[in-house]
Amino acid sequence: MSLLALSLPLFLLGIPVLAFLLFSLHRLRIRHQRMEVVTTLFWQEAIEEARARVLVQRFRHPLVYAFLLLISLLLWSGFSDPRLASDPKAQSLILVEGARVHQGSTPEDALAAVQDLLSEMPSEGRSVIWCGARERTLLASGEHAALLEARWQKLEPQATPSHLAAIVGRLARQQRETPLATRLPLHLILVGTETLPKDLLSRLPRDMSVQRLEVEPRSTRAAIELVALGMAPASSGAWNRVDLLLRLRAALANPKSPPRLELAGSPVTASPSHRVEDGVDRYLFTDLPAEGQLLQVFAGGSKMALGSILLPKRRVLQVQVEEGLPPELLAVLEADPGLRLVDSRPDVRIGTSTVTDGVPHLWLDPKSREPVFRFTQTEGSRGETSLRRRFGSLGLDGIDAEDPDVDGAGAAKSGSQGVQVRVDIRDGSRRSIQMPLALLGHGYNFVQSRVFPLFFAQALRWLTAVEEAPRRVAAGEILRGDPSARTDAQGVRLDPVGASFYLPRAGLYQRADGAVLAASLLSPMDDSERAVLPPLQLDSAGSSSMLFWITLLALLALVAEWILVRTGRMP
Amino acid sequence: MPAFDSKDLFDPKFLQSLSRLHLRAKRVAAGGRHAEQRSRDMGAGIEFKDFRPYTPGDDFRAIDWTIYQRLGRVFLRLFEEQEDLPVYLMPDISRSLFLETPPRARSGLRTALALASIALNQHDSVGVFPFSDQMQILLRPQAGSGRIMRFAKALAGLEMGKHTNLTLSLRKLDSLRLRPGLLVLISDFFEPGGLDTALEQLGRMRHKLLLVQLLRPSDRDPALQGDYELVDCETGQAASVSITPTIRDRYRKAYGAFEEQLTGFARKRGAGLLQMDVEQEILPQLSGLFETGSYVV
Repeated sequence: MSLLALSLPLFLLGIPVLAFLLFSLHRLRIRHQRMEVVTTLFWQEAIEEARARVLVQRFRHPLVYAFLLLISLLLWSGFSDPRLASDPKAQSLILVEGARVHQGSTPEDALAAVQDLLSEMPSEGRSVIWCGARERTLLASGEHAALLEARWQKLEPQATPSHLAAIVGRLARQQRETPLATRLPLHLILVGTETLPKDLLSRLPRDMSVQRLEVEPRSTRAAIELVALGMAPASSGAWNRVDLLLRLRAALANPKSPPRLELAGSPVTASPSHRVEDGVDRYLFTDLPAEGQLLQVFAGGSKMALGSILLPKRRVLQVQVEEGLPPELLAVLEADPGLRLVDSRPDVRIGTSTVTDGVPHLWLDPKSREPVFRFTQTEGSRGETSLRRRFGSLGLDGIDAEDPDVDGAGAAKSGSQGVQVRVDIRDGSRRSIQMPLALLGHGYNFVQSRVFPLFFAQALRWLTAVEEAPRRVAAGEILRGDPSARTDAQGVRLDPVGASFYLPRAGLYQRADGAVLAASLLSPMDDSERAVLPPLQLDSAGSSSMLFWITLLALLALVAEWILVRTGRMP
Repeated sequence: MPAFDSKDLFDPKFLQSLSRLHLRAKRVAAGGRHAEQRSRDMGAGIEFKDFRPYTPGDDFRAIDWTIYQRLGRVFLRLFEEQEDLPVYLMPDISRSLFLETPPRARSGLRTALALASIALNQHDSVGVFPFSDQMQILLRPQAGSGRIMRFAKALAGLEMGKHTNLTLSLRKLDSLRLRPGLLVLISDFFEPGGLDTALEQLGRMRHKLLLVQLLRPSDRDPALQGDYELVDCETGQAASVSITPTIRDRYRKAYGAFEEQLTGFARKRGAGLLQMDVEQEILPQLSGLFETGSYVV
């Protein structure tokens, strides 16, 4: 048996305190009802006779005291809410999903559900763990449930991947490694998630169970789940605009209002198109300015953003075109909405001369007959690696199906003629690309190929070093292939020893070179790989209340006292 | 201020119903007026009592000539003298008789007037000596059936007295050196300090005694339960008592002893004792006392 509302020492302390209190009250001067009678002669005689026989003068009614004490102790026991545990040695861990993975309920709903659950469980042997970016014990075994709310209020769901599966796996491993002699049954109750990987559940020890606590939406504000958040180039064709797609799922079917967007803290006035697909609200915002700002999504009157995304920075490049370029190239440049042909103050220059005024330029060498692409980059070996990774986006892969030469020079076939085209990377003070003008001539089919417009569009943007969007990585997964030092929003270096690491939460991170990394929450697993957890039944929460029986006993005691009073056996 | 209205206290119907009741004394003391009670005196009554030889100076009219003719000796016929029975009424008018509802005093005064009426109707003299902390002389002994209204008014005009002091009141009555008669003591007999002294004094009285105890059922078995501060209405003395069944048993025991003391005294003294339930009509109860139509003292 355990006590839910009071600790055992406090309950035990209350018993003598109650007994002493009642005893003191019993010995206090009785408040008599004053009554005038014809004579007190016979009463005086009766009292005198009685007084001679009592030990303590004012403690006249031991039976009354006994009944009072019994009823008071029963009420005290009822107040302490004793429970009969079905398995007194079992440990119960309530794991609360602290990631911002909405389950159709608000954190307030989850708190209320956990409090309801705790009211049915003995305090001994149960703990509540908050599983956010870090685990945090909200309620240790034996602590009073009243402490939970204040601790819970200090937390809020974090934009971090769910660690529940990892935690359950770790607990299962610990359970298996614990010797049987000292091992206690372990019940896990998951709050905020409904599924776990199937293979994880199949590997659980026999004395370990996992259930989910169903959280009923209670607040009038419907909990809204952000199902998807993505963007695409504007369907209107505007280069510096993007379209944003939102998919939201509301737990309650209350009147829906469109989500609210904030761009760099300022509200966005846009009317999205709305459609409902399989119970999910789909909102499409069009022509949002792609200026590299952080866009946040709010819904349901919440002050907490449901999600955020960093929009690309897509400004129109000023391109200066020299005389004598092939008309096919001019047509490609004019067709690119992200480029504007100017005569002065260009961001990049393209032509057949070798002007060195500091402006990055793409030099179409009229004299060269050698089919070589010469890239001059400024970031050293790291930049070379980065550039090699961009060959695909530059369209060079389309020119040459073969891998470039490992020495830094590569060979490429240009079209069906089978002419080898080389790629040469070298260091310099400014970015530039040199390629033979002849490659655009009739001797090659480069102009007729699909990669021709792509190469020039991407090459001009590489030359101006425009990063349209930060590199996107998955929060919670080990980051590979990017050895740059990273700092979080507060400038704290995240990998001081150079070890492999992962970004714990979704958000923006900055590399040492100033580049921005955007960590996102990605759905890591297919639903088919997950098993739905059985819901927790409250009556199987490990204990049964004795309140009914205690109340019944107290009522019986009251009835017995009433009978004794009515029959004159007790005053 | 009178405690009762005379019309309320004594209605004519009540007085009329008393006419069939009589007080009879076995023998009254000598020296009274001529009345209906048998006395020890020989006199001019109509009830033959004895013969005695003639002595010079005797009334010739009393000579029994038949005996003289038969025996040749002169004898006188003697007749029993009939005198009155002095009745001394002592109604209790202490505070305790006015406390409850209906008050005991009402039954007490109606009993007193009933007995006065009976006595006056048979030409006995009646005196009224109400008492509380001391005795007072309300009406000196007097006879005449026409005086009943005077008695009624006098009794109705009585006011509530103080505490009971039966002993002192009896002493005072005794000091009046009244002709031996019937002393009717109408009281609840709740004497502060107990009845011992009062009964001792009562035993010394030269009168025949009729004790009328005014009581109600709750005296014997009070329906109280719980914690009370009981205040004596006469002395103001308070007793804090938690009334339990045990305490009630002890109360009943104490009250039983009180009743036993009173009845024992009456038995020993040869006094009459009428226990009058003040919550019932007094006439049926008085009728019980006058079972054969008369009460012989």
